[in-house]
Amino acid sequence: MSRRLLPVLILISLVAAGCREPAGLHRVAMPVGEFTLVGDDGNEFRLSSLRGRPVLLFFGYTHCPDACPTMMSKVAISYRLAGEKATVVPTLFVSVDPRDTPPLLKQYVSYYGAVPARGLTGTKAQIDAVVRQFGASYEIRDTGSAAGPMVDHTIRLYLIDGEGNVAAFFDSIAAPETIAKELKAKL
Amino acid sequence: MSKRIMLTLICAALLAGASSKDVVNISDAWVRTPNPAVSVTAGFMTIENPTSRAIALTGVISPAAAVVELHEMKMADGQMSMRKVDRIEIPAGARVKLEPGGLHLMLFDLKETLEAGSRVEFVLQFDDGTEAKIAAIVRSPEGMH
Repeated sequence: MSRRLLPVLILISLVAAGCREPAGLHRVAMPVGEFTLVGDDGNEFRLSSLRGRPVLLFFGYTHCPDACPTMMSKVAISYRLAGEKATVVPTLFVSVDPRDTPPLLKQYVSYYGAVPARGLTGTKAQIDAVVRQFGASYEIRDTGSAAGPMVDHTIRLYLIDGEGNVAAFFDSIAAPETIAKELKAKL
Repeated sequence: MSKRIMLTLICAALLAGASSKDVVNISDAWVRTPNPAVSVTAGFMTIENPTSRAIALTGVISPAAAVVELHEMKMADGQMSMRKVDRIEIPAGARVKLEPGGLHLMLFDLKETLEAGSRVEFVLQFDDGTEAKIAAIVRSPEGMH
């Protein structure tokens, strides 16, 4: 390798390292626009009712023993790190389990006091449509558990901007610091 | 002290020393504080097998839950997949961690109000017929409450 080329390569690798996204953060530009579901108050919920402010969204189910509580506690830490202003950003917990009723969802999300969360449900057609809009998936399977069917589902926390576009999503390895930083940047 | 008593004490001490290498060690056992909306939660621990033979955890019972199952969570392409497993293998000399996002105990139909700081008893059943009685602490992960 020529002596002249080496500093150039070092510079390029330094710039590339600096540009690398934090682990678990995926920037996207995915227009969602609108969706309609049923809120945990039993009333119709439209995403457009939150237009003008960022929104976090997550698919899950209340009987999820590990993945959903793990994500919810990570979201709680993220809000704490992001500071008081971040509480204007609601987190939508979209249930992919038909067993989850609005009152159950309301009780479930209220447990995560640090998270300004709203539980959402709907008809299967409504839920399937939203899952498709976010490029997510779920599958209800009987694995022989006494707790009933297990629901395999996408574990991603979506960050939606004030215009209804998914700006980024965080996968299960994203640190709360990463989520908090992106939240603050959208305020 | 007579020589015979001395010898007995030395033997007892040697046996006690040997027994720690002869049984499975359980550490860091904890249960996530359940969300009161649902009668389900998960338990975690580290199981160490210092023996020279493989052993498998095949069952767990607890007075705190009607059902305790062994579960495995896996991630593939952003999708979480959870399934019940019949056994958790702990190879000879190995340490297996049950932790959030991986292997765990699923506690269903809770019989007690599991408050943070309280203890949950478990009897772990292994494939060689042995059992281990442990107490796990109930706690909320960081960031909660």
